[in-house]
Order: sequence, then structure tokens, then C-alpha cells
Amino acid sequence: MDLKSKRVVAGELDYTSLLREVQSPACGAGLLFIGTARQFTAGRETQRLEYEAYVELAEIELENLERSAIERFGLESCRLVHRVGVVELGEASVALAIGSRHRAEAFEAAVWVMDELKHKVPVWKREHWADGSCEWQHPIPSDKT
Amino acid sequence: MIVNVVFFAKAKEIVGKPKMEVALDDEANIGDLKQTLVETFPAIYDLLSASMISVDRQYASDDTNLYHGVEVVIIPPVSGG
Repeated sequence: MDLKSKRVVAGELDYTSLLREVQSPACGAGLLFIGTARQFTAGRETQRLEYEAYVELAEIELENLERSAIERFGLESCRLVHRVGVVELGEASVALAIGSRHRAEAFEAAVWVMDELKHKVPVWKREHWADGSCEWQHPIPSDKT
Repeated sequence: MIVNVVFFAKAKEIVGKPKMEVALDDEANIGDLKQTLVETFPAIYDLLSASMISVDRQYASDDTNLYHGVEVVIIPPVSGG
């Protein structure tokens, strides 16, 4: 997996390497957020998740989000990767690493980046429920999911 | 003209394939393409209404004109994260 050139990746996310990428002596804060596959959603049991992406556009949108976050919050660095394919329970589907001079802007930026990602980046989640059924998730744009 | 339409997620499930060629009048725009898709796949109406459309990797509107051979991607509401 070459995280430096690709932001949409198949296979397990190496998020510890991602965090190392954003750390530098200019930073007083290094923040790593991972989104992981959860077993229960509103009482319904998930067996595993599956993600699909419009890779060409998702790569562009993820890079744009990194750049926008750096400018908007004055970060030193920002890296954002999303996994595609099957993601088992507990595994990471998305990883965000931020390097900043102080912690406040890193925490603030992380919330903003993840909200933007969930509304803008062309990636789709398919729930494989424990009862054997499957369902693509298409929240209407005003939803905050 | 012929345009190449690409589908993802539930849109792909409804259409039954990831891409297809669609024949349109030479002056057709995105709105015309949507109408043709709904006539062919009535079940796609709700999802298509909520979808973004990309032409040449840029988001497009209903009045965006199409040309022969262009790739049009149907982008249903996203759910990454």
C-alpha cells in the first residue's frame, strides 16, 4: 500500500504510518482519527461493511479536503485515506491524520474534515447485515449520518 | 449520439450493470439523459433525483450539454466514512 500517492486504497489501512507522515518538529500536536466498522446500528446487527468508490473523483476530492483543511485551520499537514472493498467489524474504513502547532486546530479540523467527507466524497457503504441481507446506504444530502 | 453512463452502488444494482451506452439526440443534455434512464429503469427515479452527475470528472447540471462518446457518471448520495 502506497499511502503517499493514493488516498483510496484496498486492504487494511496502515494508519500508524499515516500519523508518522504528518509529524514534524514544527508540530506540537499529532492527531489520528479512524472510522471503524461498528457491529450495531440502531439495534440492527452488522456482519461486515463493503465500500465502493468512484476512485478517480474520490482521489481528487480527498486531496482537495486535505488542502482545504490545511488552509482553513492553519495546519502543518493533513492526510486522509479511505478504504474500499470488504471491511470487517473493528477494522478501519477511513483514516485522518493531522499535524498542527497546537491541539485546538487539529481537533476542530478533524470534525470539519469528517463532516465534509461524509457529504462530498464519492464513496458508498454497503451494510451486510447479520440476517444475511445487504443494503447500499444513500442518506439524503441533508442527513448528518 | 452515444454516451457512456457509469453507475455506482444502488444505481448499479437497479440498472444491473456498472456501465451502459445510451443513444440520445445530438442536442441532448443531462436532463434528457435522466429522462431516458427513468423511462428505461423506472425504479431509478428517486435515487436519480437525489444524485449528482459528473461529466468529464466535473459536477454537471441538468442543462449541461453532452457530446458523442462522453462519460457520464451517476453519483448517488454518498455514504463514506
